Amino acid sequence: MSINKSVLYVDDNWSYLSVVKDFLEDSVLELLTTSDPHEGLRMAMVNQKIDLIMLDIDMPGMTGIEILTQLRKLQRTSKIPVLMLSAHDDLDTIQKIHSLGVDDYLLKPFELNDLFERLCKFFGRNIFEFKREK
Amino acid sequence: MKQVEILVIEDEPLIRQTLETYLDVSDYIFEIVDCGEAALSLLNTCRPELILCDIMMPGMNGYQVCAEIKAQLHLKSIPLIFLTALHSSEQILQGFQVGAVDFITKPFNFSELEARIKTHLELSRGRQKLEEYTHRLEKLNEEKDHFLGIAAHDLKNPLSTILLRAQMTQMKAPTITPEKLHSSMDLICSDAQRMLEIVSNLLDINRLETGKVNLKNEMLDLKSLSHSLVDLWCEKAFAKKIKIIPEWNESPLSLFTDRHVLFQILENLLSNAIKYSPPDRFVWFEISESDTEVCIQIRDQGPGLTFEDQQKLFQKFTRLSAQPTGGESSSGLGLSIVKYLVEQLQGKIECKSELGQGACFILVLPRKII
Repeated sequence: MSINKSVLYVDDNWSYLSVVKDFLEDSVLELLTTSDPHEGLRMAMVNQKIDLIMLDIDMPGMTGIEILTQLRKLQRTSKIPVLMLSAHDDLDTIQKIHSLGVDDYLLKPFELNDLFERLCKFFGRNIFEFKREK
Repeated sequence: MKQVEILVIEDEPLIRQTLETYLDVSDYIFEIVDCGEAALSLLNTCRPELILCDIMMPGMNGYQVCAEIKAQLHLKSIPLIFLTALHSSEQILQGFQVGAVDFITKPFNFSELEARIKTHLELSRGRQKLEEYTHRLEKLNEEKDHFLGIAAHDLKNPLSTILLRAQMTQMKAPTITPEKLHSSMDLICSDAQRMLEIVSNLLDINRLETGKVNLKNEMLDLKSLSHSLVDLWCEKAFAKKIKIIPEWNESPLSLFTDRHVLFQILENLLSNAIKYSPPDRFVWFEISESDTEVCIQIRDQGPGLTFEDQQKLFQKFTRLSAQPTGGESSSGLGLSIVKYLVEQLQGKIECKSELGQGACFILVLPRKII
């Protein structure tokens, strides 16, 4: 399986971006990252081949929910799957993002196995070249 | 607001005069009025600790005055005692129903009057003190909750990324390169370092707030202390291509203060200046003196501070718009600790800054602690 899928990850926490980037570096996924939510929205709008967007919720200047709202309004981005990653576990937030058509939700702090499972759901189980089966 | 202990509302001139003499001799601070209307008007400008009120008066009677007072939020807690010739149980009950705390039946004897005034003043003062303590405790509890909430949040982030990095290293153990392992360990160390800094700062704050700082004042040379500090930070500054410029003459400057505390303050200010400066900039460290004061200024060419940032600069867990420029950590506690420590040394600290123009922290210490 060669690199043919792109994932955009927007999170203002540099440490999360860095560890997810390292985690996926030997996978078949190309990871694009930014800690600036405005830049994240711009990248999602101009990049023709993004297959999944991972969004944090609490970010200064623009929240992940606001980005999701914008993405769903535009025809070109409205169908891109979105995985939310956030520490918010309250019903209001979860209902809100579901009403906006989020595809999945991962509660922070998450374990890498959970992230792996979510990514498998979108891209199949062969996203890593090395053997990970237990 | 005028300070008054007792307000008397009494229409009979003879009783008024008797009470006036008694209260005067007993050294109470008091006001006497002859009708309810005058009392209500006076209550706009003074808040007595106790009210003695007649019941049968022309115009508003005592019950009406009492009901009116109890209807006002800022007056309702003032205890009111009826002074009256009425003594049927219905009349007494009506008095309690409108909010009175006690009755003194006319003609009264002075020992009884004295005892009741004393009891109700003590009760009222005790209640007020209790309210103040409760309010203070509620505020402290709120602050503690806020403090713990932010501390937990600040610790959770580095802790979860340490965990993620450790998991990743474990999962990729069969294939990970030594370089990657090394860089992962570096990042784990830097997150752990950040957590350690947050915890140390929290302990510092706790020590300061519970008054466990014992100053050990000694006569020291400020310039020699500043030299050692600059020497200590020179290398770290150099690594970011920042040059520290000491600006003081070489003659010694004696100061009677706590060496460790002063060093901690100056180190915090200097490390901040380096932390927030972009590369290829200068940080100035100036010392000047007058007969009574010593002034230390640490000035940088960093991004400067917005007006909003300057307002909350010395508060705990402050999040400023400026961020460290070399991946250093910031717990948001450093400057609040600095402020506490400066106060311990009976000094003053302020920051002058404009956005984009760098920041200058000015520390002024008394030369002699009285």
